[in-house]
Amino acid sequence: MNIAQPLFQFHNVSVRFNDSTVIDNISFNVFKGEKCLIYGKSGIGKTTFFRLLLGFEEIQEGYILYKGEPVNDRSIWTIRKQVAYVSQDLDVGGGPVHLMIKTLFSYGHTRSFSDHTTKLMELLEFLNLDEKILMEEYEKLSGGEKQRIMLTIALLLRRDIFLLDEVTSSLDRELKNKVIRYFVENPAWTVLSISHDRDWLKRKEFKVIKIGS
Amino acid sequence: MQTPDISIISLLLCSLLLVVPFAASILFRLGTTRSMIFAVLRMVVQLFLIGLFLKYLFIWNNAFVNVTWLVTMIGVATFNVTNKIKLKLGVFIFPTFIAFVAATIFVLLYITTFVLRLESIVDARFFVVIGGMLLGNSLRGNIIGIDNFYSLLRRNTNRYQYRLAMGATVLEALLPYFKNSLRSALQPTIATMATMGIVFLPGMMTGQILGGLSPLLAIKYQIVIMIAIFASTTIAVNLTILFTLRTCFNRFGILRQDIFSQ
Repeated sequence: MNIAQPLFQFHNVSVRFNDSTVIDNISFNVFKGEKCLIYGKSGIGKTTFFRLLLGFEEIQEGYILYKGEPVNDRSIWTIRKQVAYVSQDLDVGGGPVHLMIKTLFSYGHTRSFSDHTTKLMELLEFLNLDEKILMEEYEKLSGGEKQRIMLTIALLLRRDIFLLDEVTSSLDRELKNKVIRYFVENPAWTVLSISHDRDWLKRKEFKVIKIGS
Repeated sequence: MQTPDISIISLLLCSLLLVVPFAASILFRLGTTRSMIFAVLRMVVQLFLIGLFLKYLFIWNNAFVNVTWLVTMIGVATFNVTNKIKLKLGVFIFPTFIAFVAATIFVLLYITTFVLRLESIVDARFFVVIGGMLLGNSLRGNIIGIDNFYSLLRRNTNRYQYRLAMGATVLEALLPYFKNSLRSALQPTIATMATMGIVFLPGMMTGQILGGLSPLLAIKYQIVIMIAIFASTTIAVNLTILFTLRTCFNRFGILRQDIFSQ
């Protein structure tokens, strides 16, 4: 890959739902290893950027390139295998946490990372979670616990592109800053984060894309 | 012992028993009197017509007519399935029809060829009658299965999309919903099989015994029919879901919202 080629290129992207404009003619690039923050008030459609990147919504105007290739129905399957996504919506599974993790690591593309016990324990400790949480029902966990489980899963995937959607919204300030630091301090990781939290904005490492006023 | 005939007078005497449900409906103001009258009349007319039709079907015993009749029944069953679920008829009718045809014909031909070893595998007495029983029973399972699959998926869109975002293929991400739907589709047949002979005597077996067949032969037929129903329901639900995937998901693997009628 050409060094100067962006990992993601958003070019004049616009999205409208029911006559209301959610994204209006936005362009920006994200380079490999770069930390990028999509910042703006809650509810103005920041999540739509990730939904477009993951093929959950179809682009209406403009285009998005991933490693120089358009994001379309062919490339989307590769993109999904190369990014680690933490969704803002915490309803991502059910049943005991360890079974949920086991299922998510049973797919053809994630199976090779299923032997992750040591890494899992390290991550739980890092995120201030007791290992007993693995036996608990995911649906009964608090928002903060769910968020930390999703972060754990994303990190277990051992991918180097992160799409983080409001991943610290339910964490206390100390843990939140620890998580932000963790993501910005790894130079190999490309981090694309969505947040309306000023603590993310304070970090100088982020290239900020402001959405809305 | 010869099976006693039921005369028209006897049928009318039997109808006197209807006084009980009608009285209950009127007394408790259930608001079902009109639909009860309609249902009873429909049942009588439909059964007389089918009795008449089957009489000639057995006399002609023509392979083409038999197969055409079964395919027509499958068409009506398909319409029933797609009409009862909250999904658009246009999207589901063709895949459901093909799934029913494949499931019913395959199991039916297996039974008539290898189990009953009939000289004519499309003999009306077996092909049409057993085919009708298979359809009637797999119809219920299919309605439960398809409805469960798509409504569960619609309710859990975020969970499904999260799996796709992890890098799962559409089939991998759909597996939990598919398993759940198949389980619920088969549950009624499993429950029926488990209680058969103890809690109730199945209709087909009772009919054969009343018709003069030995109870031992009647239970053998009942076992064959139950296994055939179990197999055809499993095949029908699997195939219907499989055949509808192509039209119900977009090229990105996302469930289309315009397939739902409500």
